[in-house]
Amino acid sequence: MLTLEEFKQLDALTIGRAYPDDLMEKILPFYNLLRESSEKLRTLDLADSPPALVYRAGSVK
Amino acid sequence: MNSDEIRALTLIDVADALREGRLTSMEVTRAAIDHAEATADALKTFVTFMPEAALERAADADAARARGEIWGPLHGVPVAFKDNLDTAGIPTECASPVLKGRVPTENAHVVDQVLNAGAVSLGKLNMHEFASGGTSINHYTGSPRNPWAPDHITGGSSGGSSTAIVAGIAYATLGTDAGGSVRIPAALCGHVGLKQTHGPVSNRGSVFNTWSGDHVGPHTKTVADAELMLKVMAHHDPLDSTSVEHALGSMPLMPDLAGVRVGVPETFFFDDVDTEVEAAVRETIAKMKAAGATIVPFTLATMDIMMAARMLTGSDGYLYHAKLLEERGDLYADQNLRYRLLASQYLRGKDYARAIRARRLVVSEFVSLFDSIDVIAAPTTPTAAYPIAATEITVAGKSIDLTQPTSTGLLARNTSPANYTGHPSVSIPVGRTTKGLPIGFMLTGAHFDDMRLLGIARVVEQLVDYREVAPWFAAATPALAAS
Repeated sequence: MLTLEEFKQLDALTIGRAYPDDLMEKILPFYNLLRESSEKLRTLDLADSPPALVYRAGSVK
Repeated sequence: MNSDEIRALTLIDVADALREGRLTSMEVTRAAIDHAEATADALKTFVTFMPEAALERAADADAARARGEIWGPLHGVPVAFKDNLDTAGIPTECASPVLKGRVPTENAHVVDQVLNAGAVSLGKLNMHEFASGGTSINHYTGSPRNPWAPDHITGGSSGGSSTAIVAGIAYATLGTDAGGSVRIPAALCGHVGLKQTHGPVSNRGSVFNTWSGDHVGPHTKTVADAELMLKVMAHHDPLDSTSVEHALGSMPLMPDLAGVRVGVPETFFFDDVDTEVEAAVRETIAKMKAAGATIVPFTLATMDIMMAARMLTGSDGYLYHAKLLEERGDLYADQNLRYRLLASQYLRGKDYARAIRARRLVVSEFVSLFDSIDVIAAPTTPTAAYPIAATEITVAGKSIDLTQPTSTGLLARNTSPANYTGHPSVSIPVGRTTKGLPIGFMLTGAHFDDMRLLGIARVVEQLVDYREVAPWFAAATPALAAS
């Protein structure tokens, strides 16, 4: 999980919002939850799994 | 029939009485308005209450009936809408100061269906800000209150939609369910809440917190009432790309559960569930077996994937909020919602794409599961309602810090899989805790098998003594009578 300093570096290298430290500190726990979930999914082999957004009768199997 | 007796009627019964002229819409609407006003401070059900407009519409309904006109199956019936469903000319602010003054020019498609069926709108219902949480705790509007215990949460996000049902104010209300927001308050307040298959009910005109798995669903007293509402609500909307044209049919009237295969999960859904909740749910499953059902234990391998991927796909709500966050981020009553949305900006595209692909794995496993079962039976929520002021609760012997971001998914853990996969799912009340708080039982069915799901739920409903578990059977709940 990222520290505040690492998160600020990530911001600077990506979208560059440069929010005040106190706001970055509030966002960080929520970002770390997303990061944790992302890392879980990176272990999966999804090459043969097409995206699924909408489910229509008979189209999902 | 006095006003308390009128308010205790089901949707089906009041609609029949209105159609047959045994009651007038003015009588029914006046009873609803009087009780809404009497409980306004205690329950905080509405954010926009419209008694004059409702009485005017009720008078029109009565005049129409006198001319022999019946507008539809909800002719003259008082209903109400969650504050994130667009209503033309009426504020629709998602119970948030961020949208203060937002007045749509058109009704949501589903609101049109309900009004075209003849319903009388009482107004807009209180909710969790932007439908973004499972409690309905709202420091801007004042949290809606659980009629069984007004210092307890209703559950959410459609809390006011449930309060209006169990307090006997409206006969049906609409909520939205992106992770359980119809079924959770239905479970915690003690009534029926339905999230139908994704597609048959249009989402156009619903202000989404996320596009991934949101549904508009009905809150009602009984399963039969839910069937009526689903029939009214389900109309293909060519202007909603997710709308599906599909005839759902009618709920089968089953005498028992012979031939019904009830899937009982051995993992996930019963993990870390409050002892009293689990006991009530397992007792109901035993009643289903006694009524002829075959019990089929099963496990799901993709639930961890689902929980991770759902968090990522849910980040698409940022797109709606981006400008609001930039221009008035300080106004969010729940600043944690603001922080969560801002965090979504940092999600990498390839991780979001991976989450979309992972969704197929989960959906495929669920779809295959329904080859061998007809319904999944599980607790709707891991716990009953808890105090609004609580910062920490204990569930199944584990302490949960409600101030931590990780606690936000507690109540939605069991309900959210059906949002992710699009399967129909219904919560019905099956018991009460020793504190007297309702316990919800969730049945989830196969895609587009909504009516069979409701047919099975209706049998279960008959196996349960609603006089013990559903507060709407009393004209006023004990807690309200004492307040």
